[in-house]
Amino acid sequence: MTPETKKDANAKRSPLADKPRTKKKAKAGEPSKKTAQGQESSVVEAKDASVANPAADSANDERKLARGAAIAIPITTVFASVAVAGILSAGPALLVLGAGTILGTIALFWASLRTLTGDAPLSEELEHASFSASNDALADRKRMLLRALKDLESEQSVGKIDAKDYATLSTRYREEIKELMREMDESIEPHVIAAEAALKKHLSKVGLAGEPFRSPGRASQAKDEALAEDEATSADAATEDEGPVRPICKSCETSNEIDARFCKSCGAGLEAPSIEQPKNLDALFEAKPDSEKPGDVTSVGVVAEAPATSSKDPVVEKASSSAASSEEAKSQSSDEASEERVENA
Amino acid sequence: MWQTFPLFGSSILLCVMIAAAYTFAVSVVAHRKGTVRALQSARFGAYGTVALIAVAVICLAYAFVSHDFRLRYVAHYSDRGMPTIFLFTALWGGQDGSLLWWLFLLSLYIGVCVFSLGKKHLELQPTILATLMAVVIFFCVLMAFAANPFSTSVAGARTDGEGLNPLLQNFYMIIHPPSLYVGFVGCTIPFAFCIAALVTGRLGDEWIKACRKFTLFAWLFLGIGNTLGMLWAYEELGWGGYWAWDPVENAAFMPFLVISAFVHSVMIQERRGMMKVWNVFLICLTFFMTIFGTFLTRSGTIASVHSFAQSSIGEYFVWFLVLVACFCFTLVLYRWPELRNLPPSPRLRRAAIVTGWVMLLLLVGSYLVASKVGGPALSRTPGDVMAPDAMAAYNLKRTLIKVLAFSLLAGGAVYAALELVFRRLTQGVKLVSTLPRLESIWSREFTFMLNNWGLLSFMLFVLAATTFPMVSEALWNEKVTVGPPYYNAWVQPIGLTIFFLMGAGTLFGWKKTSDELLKKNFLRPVAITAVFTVLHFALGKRLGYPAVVWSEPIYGGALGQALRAFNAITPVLALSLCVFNAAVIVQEFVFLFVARSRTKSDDTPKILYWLGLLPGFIYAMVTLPPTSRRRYGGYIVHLGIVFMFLGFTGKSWTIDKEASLLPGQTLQVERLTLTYKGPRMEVDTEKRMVFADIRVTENGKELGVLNPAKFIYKKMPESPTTEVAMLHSIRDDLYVVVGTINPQTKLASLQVHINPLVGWIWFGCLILIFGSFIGMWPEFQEEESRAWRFARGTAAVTASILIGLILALMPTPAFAQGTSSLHSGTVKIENEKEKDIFGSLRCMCGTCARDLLSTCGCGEAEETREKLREKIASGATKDQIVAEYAAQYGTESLAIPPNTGAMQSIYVVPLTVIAGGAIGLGFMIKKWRSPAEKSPLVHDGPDGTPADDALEARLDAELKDLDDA
Repeated sequence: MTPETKKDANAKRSPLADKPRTKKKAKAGEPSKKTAQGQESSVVEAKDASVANPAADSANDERKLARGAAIAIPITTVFASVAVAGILSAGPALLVLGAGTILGTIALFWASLRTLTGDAPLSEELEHASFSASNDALADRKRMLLRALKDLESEQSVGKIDAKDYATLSTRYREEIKELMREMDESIEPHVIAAEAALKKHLSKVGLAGEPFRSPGRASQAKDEALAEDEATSADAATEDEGPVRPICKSCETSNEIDARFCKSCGAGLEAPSIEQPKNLDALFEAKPDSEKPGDVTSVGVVAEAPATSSKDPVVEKASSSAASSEEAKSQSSDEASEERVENA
Repeated sequence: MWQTFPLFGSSILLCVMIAAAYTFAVSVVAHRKGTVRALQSARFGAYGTVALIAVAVICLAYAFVSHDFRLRYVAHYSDRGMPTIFLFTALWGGQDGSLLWWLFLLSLYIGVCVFSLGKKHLELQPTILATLMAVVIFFCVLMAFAANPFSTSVAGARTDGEGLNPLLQNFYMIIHPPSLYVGFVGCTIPFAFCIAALVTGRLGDEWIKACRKFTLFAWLFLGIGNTLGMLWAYEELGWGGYWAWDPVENAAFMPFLVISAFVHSVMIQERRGMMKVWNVFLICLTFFMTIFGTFLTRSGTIASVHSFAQSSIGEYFVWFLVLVACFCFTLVLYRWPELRNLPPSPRLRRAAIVTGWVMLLLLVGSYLVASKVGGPALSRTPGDVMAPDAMAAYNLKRTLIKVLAFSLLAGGAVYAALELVFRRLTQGVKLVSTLPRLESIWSREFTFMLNNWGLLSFMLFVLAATTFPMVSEALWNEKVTVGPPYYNAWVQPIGLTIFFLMGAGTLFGWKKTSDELLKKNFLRPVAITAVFTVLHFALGKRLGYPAVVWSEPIYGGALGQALRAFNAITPVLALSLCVFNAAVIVQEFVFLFVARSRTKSDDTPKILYWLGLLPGFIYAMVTLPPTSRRRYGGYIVHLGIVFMFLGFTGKSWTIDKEASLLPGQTLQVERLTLTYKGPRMEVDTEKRMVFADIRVTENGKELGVLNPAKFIYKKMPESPTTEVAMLHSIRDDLYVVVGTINPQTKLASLQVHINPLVGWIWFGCLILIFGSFIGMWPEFQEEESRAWRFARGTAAVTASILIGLILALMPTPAFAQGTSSLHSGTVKIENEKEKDIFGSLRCMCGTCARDLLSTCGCGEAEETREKLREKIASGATKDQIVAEYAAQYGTESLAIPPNTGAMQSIYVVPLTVIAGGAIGLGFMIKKWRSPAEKSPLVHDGPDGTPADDALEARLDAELKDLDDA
C-alpha cells in the first residue's frame, strides 16, 4: 500500500464511522421492525438493502483496512527498500525504510488515538473481553495444590517418592483440595441456584424443560452460565411459545441441533426424534436464528426472505430503543454468546 | 527545528519520549478505568513507540552510511574508507550509539511482548506497558540530555571521520554489549511483569507463568552472551585465557546468577505459594543488576579494560536506580500482606508502608546526624590535590558506596521492623492453610532454597570483589586492584559447592524423599564417582591430567595455605563432580524412559529411534507434558553446565611454553612436535600480514599447519596486531601466538599454550542452548494437528533463538576488522618464578586499566618486566620485589589487595553475609516446617459418601486437565 492510499483510507474512515450512529438511533425509534430475539433485530434491519447494517459493515471495513495496513505497510516498505538497495545503494534504501517506518508510526498512533476516543471499532474478540475484577484467591490456591498433587504423581511415576509417603501426602493434598472445592461451591451456591432458576425458565420457554444442563458439581461452569443467563434473561424474556424442539440423544441425553442426524457427543444416530422434527425448509429457517450470528451476510439474506417471526414484546422494544447503537451491538452479541453456551451445556 | 538532519534525529528522539509518555499515560488510564478500549489504544501506542525507535536507529544508520560527519558520533567512529557492513556495526561501537542500540533492543522486546500477550492477561497488560514505557522514557532522557548520538561537533563537519581506531577506543566494548544486551535488556520484561503483579495485586503464579518464556530467553542470552565473551577473548585477544574477572565481565555475570536463582525459586512459588517476597526481590535485583552493570561500564567508576571514557551519564543511572528502588520498595510494602499470604486490609497496608518508610527515614536521619557529628574525621577530602573531574568522580564513588552499605543495613532493619509489626497486628488471624509449608527437609524444595543461597552467595562474593576498589578508595582512601588471582582462588570453593548442589538437588523429589529412596538415588552416581576418582588418582598423572595440582598461594599464612590446598585438589574434585552430575542426569533420564515404557506412554514413532538416537530423543522430549518438559529441559541445561565445568577444570593443566626458533628448528611440547618452516608475507589493501608457518606433528603423524601472524595495518604501523593460530581437539587446544619475527634472521619468538578441555566449554554452551530450546518449546492449542504443532513450535523457537544469535553475533565483522590494541603485544615469560611474580603485579603504565604484568602486552609492561628480570637475576626474592614495586607505585599496583587490616574485609564481609544467609535459611526452614507439628490435618468432610466420591471424581478430572502451560 502506498502512502497515498493509506491516507485516503484514513480520510474516508471518519465519515463512515460517524454515519452508523445516526442511522442506528433512527432505527431504534421504529419498534415495529424489532423481532423477538436480540440478534434478529439486526437481521431485520438488514432487510433494507440500502442501509444493510452500516455499523457492522463499516466496522468490518475498518477492521479489514487495519489488517490490510498492518500487513501491507511493513511488506511494502521492506520490499521497496530492498529494491532501492539493489538499484541504488544502502543510503537511499535506509531512507525508504525510515519513511515506511514513519508512516507505520503515524498509522499506529492514528489507530491508538481513534481507539482511545472510541471512533475505531475494537476487534470482535476484544469487544467481548473484559478485565476480571480481582483474582480468585481460592482458585489460585486450588490450582497450586493441584499442581503439587500432579508433581506427586509424576514423582511417583519415575519412582522418586516412597509409596507410603505418596499415599500419605496424596491423601492429605486431596483432602485439602476437596475442602477448597466445597468452600468454593458454597460460595457460589446462591448464584448457581439463581442461574438454574433462570435457565429453567428459559428452557421451558424454548421447550426444553427437563434438559440436564449441568453436570453434577460443575459449579464453576454453572457460574459462568449464571452470569450469561443474567444477561440473557433481560432481553430474552419473550420467545415464541412453541417452536421446533431439539432432539435429545437417547444414549447420553445430550441435546443436539435441530437438524442433527447424529449425536454430537456420543455419535449415536438420532433417526427417531422423540418429538416431531420440522419437516420443511421454511420451518427449519424459522428456528435457525437460534444459532445465527448477527452480521453474517449470507444468513441475513436467507432469514430475511423467510417469514418474519416478529413479536411485539414490550420488554425487547424498551431494551432496544434505549440502547445506543454500540451497546446494542454488544448486548446482541452477548445474548448470542449466552445462547450458544446454553446450547453447549 | 528540522532544517538539518542532525536536528531531525534529535527531534525523533524527543518524539520517542513524547510517544512513550503518551503510551504511559494511556496505560495508566487503562489500568485505572479497567477498559479494554484504553488498553488497546495503549497497545497501539506501544507499537508506535517501537516503530519510532526504529526510525531513530535507521536515521543513525543513514548518517553513518552517508558519512554525515556533522554528527560527532559518526565522525568519531567511522571514516570514508570503511566498508558498509562496518558502518552498520559502528552503530553500537561507542557509548551514545550503544545506548540507542540498547533502547532499540528493548523496543524489539516490547514489540514481541505486546504481540505475544495478545488478549491474555488483560489485567496485567496496562501496568506492564506502563513499566516498559517508563524504562523507555529513562533511556530517552539519558540520550536527549547526556549522550545524544545525534549531537553535532562544535567545530562543525569534518572532511573525514576518525574511523574505528582501536587505539582510541576500547574495542572490547564492541563485542560484549550487543550479545549481552540481548540478555540484559531481556531482564526488563520479567521486571515489568513483576511490577504489574504488584500493582494489580495478582501475586499468584499468573505473572510468573506469563513471563516464563521471557525470563528463560533473557537467562539463555545472558548465558550465551557471557560464553561468547569468553570465546571472543580466547580466540582474539591472544593471552591464552577466556575469563579475566574484569568488572564488566562480572557485571554481566551477576545478573545471570540472580536470574538463575529466580528460575529455580519460582518453581517453589508455583507449587507452594511461598517465597513470594523473595521472587519479587530476585527479579527486581536482576533488573537492578543489569542497570548497575551498565552504570559500572559507563560511569568509569571502576577501572576496567572495558571502560568508556568517563562521562556524566553515571549520575543518571544512579538517580534512576534510586527512583526504581523507592518505587519498588513502596509497592512491596503496599502489597506486604498479600505477599505474606495474610488477608489484606487497609490497616495492614498502612502499617506496612508507615513502618517501612519511617524506619528508612529514621535510619537516613540518624546516619546524616552521625556523619555530621563525626564529619571531619570521616571525610578526608583531598580536594586541594584533585582536579575537579577527579573530585566529582571521587564524590560519586563515596555517595555510591554509602548508599550501597546503607541499603544493605536498611533492608535488614526494615524487614525486621515489618515482621515485628505484623506479628503484633496479625495475632489470632487464621492463616489460609493448615498444611505445613514444607513437609520435609529432604525435598527438592529445600535443595532449591540451598541453590538460591549458593547462587546469591556467589553473586555477593563477586559483587563485593568487583566493588571493592571503589569501597576501599571511598572508606580508606586506598586504591587497590582486585585481579584474577583473587577470584581464581576464592571462586573455586563457592563454585564447586553450587556445582555439587546442582547434582545432589536433582536426586531429591518434590515434597519428601525417604531415606531408603535417597540411598537408592545416590547409590549409583556416588559409586560411579568413587570409581572415577580412584581411577583419576591412579591414571591421571600418566595421561597428563594429574589429580592434584599445586600452585603458589595468593596470601601468606594459614588462609593462603588453606586456599592453596583447596585449589590443589580442585582438579580431582571438579572432575569427580562432573562425573557425579553427569551420572545423576543420565539416571534421571533412565528413570523417565523406564517409567514411560512401563506405562506405555511413550508414543514416539519407532522410526525416529531408527534414524538415530537424537531425533527420537528430541521427539520424546518435546512431546512431554509442559511441566515435565521444562524439568527435563532443565536437566539438559545442567548437562551443558557439566560440560562447561569440565572445560573450566582444564585450566588447571594448562601448559605454557616460550621459544625462539629459526626456520627448520623444532619445539617439543608434551606429545606435540612443532616445526617452524619459516615466515611468509602477504599484502592486501589495508595491511601487511606476516605469517609464521608451523607444522605440527604427533608421533610423526602430521596434524596440520598453523599460521600465527602479525598484521600491520597501514593506519597504525606502530602497533601490529596478533593473530592467534589454534589446533582444536577434544582433548586440548594447541594455541600458538607469534611474538616477533626478525626480517633478517627470520627468527620467530613463539608462545605456545596447551589448553586442555577448553573446547568443552563451547560444546557445553551448545547443549545449554539445546536444553533451553526444549524448555521453551511453546505450548499448543489442543485442536491443532500434531504436524502443525511441530512446524509451529520449531519455527517459533528456532526463529527466536536465531534472531537472538544473529543479534549477538552481529558484531563479528566489527572486531574482525582491526583489533589492534594496547594489549596486542606478546608477553614473554621465561620461567615459573617470573610467571609467579609477574602474575601478582599490575602494569602501571596508566592506560592498561587492569592488566597484570603476566598478560599485558604493552611496551611499558615489557620494560617493567625487563627491570624485574634484572632484579630476579640479582637474587631478590618474590616478597622483596613485590614490596619494592608496591612502594614505588602504591597498593593498586598489586594484583590483589594485601591480606592486612581493613583490606581483609573484601572476603570477611561477604563470607559473614553468606554465613548469615545460611543461618537465616535455617530459621526460615524451621518456621516453614512448624505448622505440621502444631496442627495435624483435620478433615471434617465425610469420607466415602456419594458427595465425597463426586468431589473425588471432579478432582481427578481437574487434575487431568490441569493447564500447566
